[in-house]
Amino acid sequence: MISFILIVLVSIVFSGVIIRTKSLASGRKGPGILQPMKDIVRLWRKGAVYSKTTSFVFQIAPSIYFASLIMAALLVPFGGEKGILSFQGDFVMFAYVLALGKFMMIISSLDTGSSFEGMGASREALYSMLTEPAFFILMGSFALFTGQSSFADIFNNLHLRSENAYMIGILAAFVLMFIAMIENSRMPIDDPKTHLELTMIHEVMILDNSGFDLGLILYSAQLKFAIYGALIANFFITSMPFTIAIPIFLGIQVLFAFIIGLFESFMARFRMNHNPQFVFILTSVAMLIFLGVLLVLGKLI
Amino acid sequence: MELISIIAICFIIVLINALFTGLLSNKGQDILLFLTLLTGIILTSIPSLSAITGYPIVEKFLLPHNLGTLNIQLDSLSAWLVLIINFGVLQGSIYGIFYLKSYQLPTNKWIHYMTLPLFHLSMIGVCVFQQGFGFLIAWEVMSLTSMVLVMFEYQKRISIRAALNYLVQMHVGVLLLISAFILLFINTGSSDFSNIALLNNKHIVLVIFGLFFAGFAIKAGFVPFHTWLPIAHPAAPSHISGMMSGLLVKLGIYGIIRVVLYLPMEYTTIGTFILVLSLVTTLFGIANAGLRSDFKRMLAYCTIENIGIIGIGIGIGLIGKGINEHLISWLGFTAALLHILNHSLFKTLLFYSAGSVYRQTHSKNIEHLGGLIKFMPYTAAIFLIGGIAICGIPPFNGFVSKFVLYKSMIAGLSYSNTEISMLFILSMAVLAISGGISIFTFTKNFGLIFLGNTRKKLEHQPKEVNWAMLLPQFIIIAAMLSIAFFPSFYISLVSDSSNKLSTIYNISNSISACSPHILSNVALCSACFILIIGLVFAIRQALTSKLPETTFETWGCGYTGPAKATQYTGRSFSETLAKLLPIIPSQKLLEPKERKGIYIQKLKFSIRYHDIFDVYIIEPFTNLVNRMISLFRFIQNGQVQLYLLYGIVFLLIILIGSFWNIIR
Repeated sequence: MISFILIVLVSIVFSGVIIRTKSLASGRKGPGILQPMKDIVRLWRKGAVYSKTTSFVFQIAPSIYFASLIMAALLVPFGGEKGILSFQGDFVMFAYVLALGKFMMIISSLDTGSSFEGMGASREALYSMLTEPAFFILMGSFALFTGQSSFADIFNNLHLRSENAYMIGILAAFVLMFIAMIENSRMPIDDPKTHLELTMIHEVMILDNSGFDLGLILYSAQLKFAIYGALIANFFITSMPFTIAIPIFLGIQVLFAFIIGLFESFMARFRMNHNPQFVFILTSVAMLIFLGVLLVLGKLI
Repeated sequence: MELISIIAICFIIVLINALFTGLLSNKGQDILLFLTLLTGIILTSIPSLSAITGYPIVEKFLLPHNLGTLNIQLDSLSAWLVLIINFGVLQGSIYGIFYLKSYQLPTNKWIHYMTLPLFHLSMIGVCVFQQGFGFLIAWEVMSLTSMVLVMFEYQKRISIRAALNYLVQMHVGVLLLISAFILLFINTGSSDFSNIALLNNKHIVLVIFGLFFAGFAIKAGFVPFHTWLPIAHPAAPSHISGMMSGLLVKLGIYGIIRVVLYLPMEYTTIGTFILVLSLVTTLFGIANAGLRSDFKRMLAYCTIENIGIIGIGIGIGLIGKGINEHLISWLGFTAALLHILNHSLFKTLLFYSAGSVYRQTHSKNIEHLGGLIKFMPYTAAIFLIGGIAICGIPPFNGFVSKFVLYKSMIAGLSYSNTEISMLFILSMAVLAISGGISIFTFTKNFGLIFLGNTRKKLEHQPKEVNWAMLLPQFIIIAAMLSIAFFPSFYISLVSDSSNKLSTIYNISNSISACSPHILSNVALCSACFILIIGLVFAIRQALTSKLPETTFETWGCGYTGPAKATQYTGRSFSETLAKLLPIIPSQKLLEPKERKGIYIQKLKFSIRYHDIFDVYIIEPFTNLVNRMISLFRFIQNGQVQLYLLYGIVFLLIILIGSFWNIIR
């Protein structure tokens, strides 16, 4: 329960923190951290324009996308404290529920019959496919490390061998952070600010969405960041008491947003055809975590 | 009633159908076919329902002429397959009868109707015959009838080619199976499957298993024996492709599981072999599926992927058995058996909806289609559901079997052997990435067939197919949802087989069955997920109902003209994927279509993707055989005089040979 509330709270300000960081890094004052959320609320009250080509798929897709993220958020625990839904193997459910959202968004962008949106759809499908093994190897490694197979049990048992757990936790945080950035199509992969359709991924998919649906999609992006941020935070808070854990959780989320902001301020986007290689690095880092786990458990030698 | 008499009755009914179907009117043929299949389905389902709960029916008959005994056995494993086949054939026959209505070809129709019940009965026969002789007869009848069913449109060259290719490949498989049975007979004195358990020599076990596996793998479509699938499936009429992909191919898997059940030793070696081969099959199948433009060929490759997934389950089950971890083994086999059912459901569903598209548009090329959701909304929704289910996404049934598979892998990770941990994490990654490519494939296909604008002008306006063709598809969807929300029931159905498979044959099965309720949480989450989707959508409707809504052209970056031709195409959608997959050889062609003087007016650009096994293994091999055989072509030259000379030479050799006592 607590994780869900915290994720929703963080999701309200997440984009705001990123934008604020970017504006400070470029020497501007920038909008308040609630500004993106205000924009979204404004969109929720606006009417919509639908393309003549679209069908019911286009209308239901954003809702299913949003619902898949809510569902994923319900599965995320708070350290050792179970999420609202928790069972053995729930991380598989987590990944596949998110996949439904992606599936719907991809077909909704093909629904417009646009010449650009297919590009975004193709790239989104490709990159999210390439991140899947990284996530599964990562979670599999931690399942092996702790001997457990649900999010809550994994995080609860991480503290047993603290030093090693933190070491592997940092690598895991790295992988999860990049998965989150790829899933949200942020800087090293995609530039959300650009207005050149040929090089866009996520932004080009939602060119024809407007009104309530667009608001839902924009909010979903923030929610997705907050969910991945919560997963990263869980690697560090494990089973601490709430009084310490909640500030650490919030601190990690803000740090996460801050790092993304810095990345976007000081890095250029990769060339599109080099992206798959970059995405695949995550799988090899996840493999490194797996080898590390084997080493720690004394299985390798 | 005894099982043998049930099969005999079914056979008589099939014969009656075969005799009379040619004499009847069009409608009479349909009714006779349906009644024949229905009686067969009901008669064989009744004993299966009791057998599946763990009360096997075993009957033995002494055959005349020293042919040994004919063993008929309907245990929980056979019963599971029989029920799947019956359900699939029932839906397939309803769909097929109405699917064929558009063809005005009376001759091939009654041949088709003659063979279809025989095909059904032979599949049942494969499941119940335990002894080599009966099994091979049923197996052979199954191969031949399915070949006849494939070449329904025999006027088309491609159909004949596909059928011949299928025939040859199946007979290579039969050859391997016969030699396996003979080896088994020599070593144990009987060709009954259960005699595999009596083998006690490691090498003989490996050889016999290898022969059986290769023979069955040709039917099942494991890489590198898969090449018949992408040729035969597009050529066959859609209900036949659906049944072949959903049911026939599963009998190859059944054969492998049947052999695995009785294996006496070498579990880990064989398990690792099956697991690695299945991983390759999974990746290869789905990577090819992602690139194809012919949607029936895409579905055929997707079948190869799913065979791989079933194989992963069998491999994990065997490894678990080898390392004495009952839970891992049980989960692996349960996942495999469940996925057999799941795949038979969503693959037939996809083939039927694809068939409806083909019937309405007469095109199998996704580049020519588009925007069909407006004309065929039910078919579109059915294809979408099938696509989501086959990607293994909740809240549909594909997730159930994939989840059990992931569970077995997670359980296997903690085993103390490093190599096995490595293998299992690798399988997890492969399963995850194949799920990702499935999403890629099915978003592409659904998007291009049903969404956007029509890419090519069709001969006539497509419209929704009639309710009789939709009905079986809705029944299949209902079955799929029942698996997704009540998985415990289906797991309890397969748990007897999984228990037997995960323990060594004939050694006490007293190990307590794993709880069939391991998935109740998944079902709960799926229900919860549907609830959330409904809730979000309801809130959206409530909030947006009063807001203004306008319709306009798709945003075209400032360009306002019609943009049908500039829509994204399937080739460009999958080109990013193709660049990552050098194992799929592609051939780019840029040819001028129209010239005016030296100036090219029109250019045609095309990319063709080839099957690496076809191009580099099968084709060179068959070419080699062809070349060797052509060396002897001078013998058959059409001159009668020469043929007479051969006869005389032959007789002379016999005469001289017997005179000098060389030939006795």
